[in-house]
Amino acid sequence: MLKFIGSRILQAIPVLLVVISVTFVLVRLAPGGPFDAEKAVSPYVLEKLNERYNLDAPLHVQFIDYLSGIMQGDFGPSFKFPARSVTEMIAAGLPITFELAFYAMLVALLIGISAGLLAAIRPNTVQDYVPMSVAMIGICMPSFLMGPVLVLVFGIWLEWLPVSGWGYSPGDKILPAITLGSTYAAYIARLTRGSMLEVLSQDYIRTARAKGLPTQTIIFKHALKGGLLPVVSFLGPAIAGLLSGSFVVETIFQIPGLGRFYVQAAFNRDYTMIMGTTIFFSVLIIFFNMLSDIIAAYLNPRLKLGDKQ
Amino acid sequence: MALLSVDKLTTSFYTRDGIVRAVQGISFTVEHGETVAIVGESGSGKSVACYSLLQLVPQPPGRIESGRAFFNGIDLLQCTEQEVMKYRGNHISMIFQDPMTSLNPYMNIGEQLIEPLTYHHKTSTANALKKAEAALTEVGISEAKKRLKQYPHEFSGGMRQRVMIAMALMSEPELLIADEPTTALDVTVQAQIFELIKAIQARRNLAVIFITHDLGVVAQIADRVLVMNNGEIVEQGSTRNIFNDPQHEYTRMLLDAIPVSAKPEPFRYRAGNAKRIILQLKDVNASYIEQPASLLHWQEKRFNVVRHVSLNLHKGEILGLVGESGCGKSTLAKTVLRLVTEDSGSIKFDGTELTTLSAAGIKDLRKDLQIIFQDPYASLNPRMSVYDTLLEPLKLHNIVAPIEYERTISQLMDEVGLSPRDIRKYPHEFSGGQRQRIAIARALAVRPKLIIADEPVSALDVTIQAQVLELMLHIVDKHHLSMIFVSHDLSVIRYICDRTAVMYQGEIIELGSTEKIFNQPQQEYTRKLLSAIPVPDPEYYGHT
Amino acid sequence: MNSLSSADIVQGRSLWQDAMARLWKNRLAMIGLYILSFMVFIALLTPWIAPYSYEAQKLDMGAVPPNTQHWLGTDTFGRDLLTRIMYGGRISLAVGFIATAVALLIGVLWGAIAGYIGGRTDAIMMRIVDILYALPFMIFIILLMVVFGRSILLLFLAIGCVEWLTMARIVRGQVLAVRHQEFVDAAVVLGLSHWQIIRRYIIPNILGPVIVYITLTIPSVMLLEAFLSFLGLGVQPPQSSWGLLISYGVETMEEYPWLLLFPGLVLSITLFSLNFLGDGLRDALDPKASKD
Repeated sequence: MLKFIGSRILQAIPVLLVVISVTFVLVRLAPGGPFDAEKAVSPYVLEKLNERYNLDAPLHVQFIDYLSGIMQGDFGPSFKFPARSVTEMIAAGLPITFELAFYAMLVALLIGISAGLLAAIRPNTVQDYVPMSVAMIGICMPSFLMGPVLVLVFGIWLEWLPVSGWGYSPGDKILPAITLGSTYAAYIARLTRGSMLEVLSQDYIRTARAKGLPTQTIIFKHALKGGLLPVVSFLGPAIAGLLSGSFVVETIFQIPGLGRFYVQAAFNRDYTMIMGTTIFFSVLIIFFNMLSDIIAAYLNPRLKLGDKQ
Repeated sequence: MALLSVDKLTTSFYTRDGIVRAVQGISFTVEHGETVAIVGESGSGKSVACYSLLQLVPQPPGRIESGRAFFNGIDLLQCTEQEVMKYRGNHISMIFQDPMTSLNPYMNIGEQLIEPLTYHHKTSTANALKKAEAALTEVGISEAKKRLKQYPHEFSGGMRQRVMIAMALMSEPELLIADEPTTALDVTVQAQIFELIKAIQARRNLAVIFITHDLGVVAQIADRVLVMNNGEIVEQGSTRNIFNDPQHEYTRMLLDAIPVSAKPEPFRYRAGNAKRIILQLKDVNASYIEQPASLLHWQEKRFNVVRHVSLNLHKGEILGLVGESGCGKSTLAKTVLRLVTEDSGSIKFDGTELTTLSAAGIKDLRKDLQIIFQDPYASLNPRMSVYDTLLEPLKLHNIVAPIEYERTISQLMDEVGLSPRDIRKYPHEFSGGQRQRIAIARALAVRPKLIIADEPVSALDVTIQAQVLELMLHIVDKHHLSMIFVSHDLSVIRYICDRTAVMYQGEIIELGSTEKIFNQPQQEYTRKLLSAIPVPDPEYYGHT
Repeated sequence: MNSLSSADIVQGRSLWQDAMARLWKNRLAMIGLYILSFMVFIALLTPWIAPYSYEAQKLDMGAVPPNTQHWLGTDTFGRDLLTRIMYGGRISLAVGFIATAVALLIGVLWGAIAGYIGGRTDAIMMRIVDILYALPFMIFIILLMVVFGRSILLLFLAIGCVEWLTMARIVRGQVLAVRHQEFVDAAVVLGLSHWQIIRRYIIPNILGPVIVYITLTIPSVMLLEAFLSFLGLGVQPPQSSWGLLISYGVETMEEYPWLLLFPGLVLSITLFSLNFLGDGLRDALDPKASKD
């Protein structure tokens, strides 16, 4: 098991290096310098600016400087808001985005797993069709449509819940969390149903039935562990999806999180900010992917002992 | 009073394609301590009948239509799900065919073993674990305490079936239902499991219902036999009577289909020409890839499965290659066919050295050397009609002129006993036996000199087996073919092969005329294999 | 027996015919297919059948709710919403189909080569896929759009380059599975060449899952485009797409909700159709596969 974790961490390092260098090169390839859009600046000012942002050094020196900066948690200053460093802005937005993603994940797991279980226990009955139809709606109503529609209905027409903000008025976290979580709730429901149906058709479930175990014991003790393995493996990609989903949801609900910063930076062509957040998001996503793989492996006794399946 | 008395049990399945009457009003009894075998071919309803007793048939689509099943005076079929649960795994236990998939891979053995006790008798976990340890010891698993903590994948197939038996015995049931418990196991392991079941049965006065398709197994273990066909019991009686004096036509057909008893002469020895050697292997070694290459393990890991094999195949003979799973017999066959490249050695076919053959030379070779595989469901391309399947070899090797295609294909169909009218059908529209006939026709299409048959009848029901074996004998004689017949089943080998080679751990340990191998085996392993074959003769096991 | 008249011959039913019959009976999937065909048909004919010109504005009229002149109402510039949805659909559907085609091309080639050759080639090729898989692709597409400007060509390419990964994995898995079937060995023993085996044995047997995956990739690609356009990082005016229309709709949804609801409805219906069709195809082509 330790070997497995070790090899997963080793695999992550080249991926991270690829992410950092590709980001770096891409941003440098951008047509026109970062200050071209501004009104004409005098050569002296330009030189000062280049010096400030370390743009006059050779490219590989810039890259190494940037890399060592990252190691120390320093993503450099923002182009757009020179007074603030990228690290500060990430630190300000991160807690909010995390909280949002956490609630959304909670929504996705609770609704998704219970709907999937309900459907799998009695397939091809009303108990299956209803949750699965709702799940289909969740998949076909993307968050950027679901969010505004929820705002329109519950915020503007019914006036039950606040339409924007985060932590300013009671209940303003409900709609963003549901908006962000709904798609994943739908995916998890379908995934849970499929894998539970598969597990429930296995021979060892028949053995458990022949032992005289009650249905709920069979489902929760014998089937659930195998049935939820695919869901655990899906958590990594789901977190990646939640983080990029936060771009939209934070924009719709005007939440001052990392996602909204990122979108703004993309509009403002705030290159250091884009680079910083891109790399930061990538690290998060790679980390969570790795984590969900390791948890899935831990739950599987065949992998726990280190043999290949 | 009988322990179990079943009266007019009827079970049906309501599927999309209509109603399947799986079990149609069967009645039988089982006494205390008695062993009853239910024998029948696939689809005969033998398993469904037993699953119905404990309401284990999935409902829907299954439905128990009518009937009664008194167990110690209580009608199990009238019980609610809650009530029948008290019987499952408590008074009536079951073991299943495939021990590899019947244990929960996510729970350790101990957790699974104690469940019958903790649920039915509210035994404490500690006490139940002690009993589980004793049960494992009883079924012959050493270091039981340590093994309780292990997971199923750490046990071999035979060991898992022992675990299943231990689990079935935990709550001291009065009836054990064993559904083909040894079909997935090697013959020597099968013999051990039988011994075990018999010993436990004697010790505990346990009644056993044994579901099987293998009459050899029946003769070995059963006191009484029920023969099932198409959902009905066509005949029942003592094992001795069924074997010696079968009344029903179907029973006679089943008995006739057993290769050993169907054979008119004790051993056949066809006029294989010992002077004309068609295939000659010298010191052949081969391995298969155990672990494919990956970035961490750049060298693929190989496992030597065929070691120093030398043998000669005479023209016109059928040479049996027999051994248990993993002995390397299939890999050896594939090496001859150039599907696996040997590591060293020489293979001469009809005077040509195969190991150094060029690509063009190999293509020519294909015309002379053909194969028939085990699984008729996997060996035909499901997307090609029979016509296309048979046309392909004719075209590829210019066997006949294009104008003759239609006629040749009709002839081939006719020869393997299929209607030429069906040439436009696709493989999935045929039964297993018919598909195997198509595979034989495909092999014959190129007019080969040598056919390698890799377990060609193992996936078929006994009556179908007998027909396909007949067909193979017929074509070998008619076309003066030579054949290597790979099988794990000694009774089939005995029926069809002139000479037999016994393989064990990659080596040929004994080779001789089939008669000699069976009557005067030289090697200890051969003797062990032979003694493990269930003989379809109750007298042999001293039943009265 | 050698002179079979054609009347004697029993016509078989291929697996394709079976699958099509199953699909035909699946009401939801057929409805999906009809709606989808309708959408594609409309998109192709839009320049000729659109009720108004794409550019036509009536600034003095402004946004009006649906009426007999403008079935779906107009936007704040007085442009006909139906026309705009029709033109937007051309882009959205084109992105869906073209980016999927890009993914298909790369993915099938990559996966088929890796699966058929196997061994070390397979190990290296699939490890590359693994590494790319671990990249946070959504963020990279955004980065690409920011750096190189929002060209629609780049959008096709970027999305296609991301989606091929799953396609490659699926194709490789299928090829490996089919390759180990006995009928492929039988074909080798008959003396067929690699190309003949690929064409007659491998391709027909992996086509089913690939078709299913294509039908399920198109909606996810369309979602991706709509997502980017919604953020303002995808399609640029004067071009339009459903995602862009939705994002305009959000700005004014309080006063003119129809500007949000109609484009949203059309997008959702299209996604529904594709998903139902995909599920139906999966059930039809591979009856054993569970509904994931």
